[in-house]
Amino acid sequence: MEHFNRDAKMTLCGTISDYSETELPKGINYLPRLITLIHYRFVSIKAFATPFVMDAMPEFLAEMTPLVTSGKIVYGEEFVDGFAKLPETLLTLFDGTHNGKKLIVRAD
Amino acid sequence: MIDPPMGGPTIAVVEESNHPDFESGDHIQTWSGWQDYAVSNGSDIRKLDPDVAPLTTALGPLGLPGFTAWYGMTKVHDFKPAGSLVVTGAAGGVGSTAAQLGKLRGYRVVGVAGGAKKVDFLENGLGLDGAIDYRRPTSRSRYGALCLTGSTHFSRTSVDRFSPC
Repeated sequence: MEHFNRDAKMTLCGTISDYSETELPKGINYLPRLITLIHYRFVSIKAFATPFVMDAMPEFLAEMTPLVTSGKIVYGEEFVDGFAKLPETLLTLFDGTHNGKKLIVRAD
Repeated sequence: MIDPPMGGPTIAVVEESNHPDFESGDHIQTWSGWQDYAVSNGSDIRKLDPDVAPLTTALGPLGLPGFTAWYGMTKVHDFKPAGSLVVTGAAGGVGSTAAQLGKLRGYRVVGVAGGAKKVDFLENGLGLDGAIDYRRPTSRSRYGALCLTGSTHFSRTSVDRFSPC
């Protein structure tokens, strides 16, 4: 936040690493400093959540499908066989041990 | 009475259909959650064409993670056509897509992630202009050096706890 430029724009789409937290983090409270920096830098923060904007899906697919199929946008996948491994696999999403999108594949 | 299944988008094959838009054998993306079989009235499913894109992309760059990245980069702020973009959670599904969109749109893109492996992926795998390991205390000066130019846009996908990185 200290390195934001003036009039910077910040888009907030989720805070998954905090979803499971039940307590505030221990240690120094940076919130007052953060608010001050937002003011000093005139930062615009806007948030959104996809369930409320699904009507933009066709426009997204029209722009992104050729970018993905042509390889201009690359992506990671990991396959896990079997529903039985689901619980342990789900937990790796929150501890930083996985890269990119994880897929669960049901064994036939 | 059992609880509903764990939620989340899935890819499935139509086994049987009385709906005019779907027939058995069709590949679809559903919101039926994690279960072997489900029934739909057709309103919450989307047909997928495996000849257009690999089916699994409907859960990745052409699914919710990609949509989140695209929407955040396209519809939320009126970004200037040039400048610096900082993406946190940049090695993940949403962040890596947002970072690549940023590169394609001509921004100077700096990614933030946790660990040397992810930083290497950002710099050498995605070809970003810079990457920062938020777990390393030494990254504070690098942060300033990497973000000097232009207006900084910040697409935030994970929490860095506002530590002075």
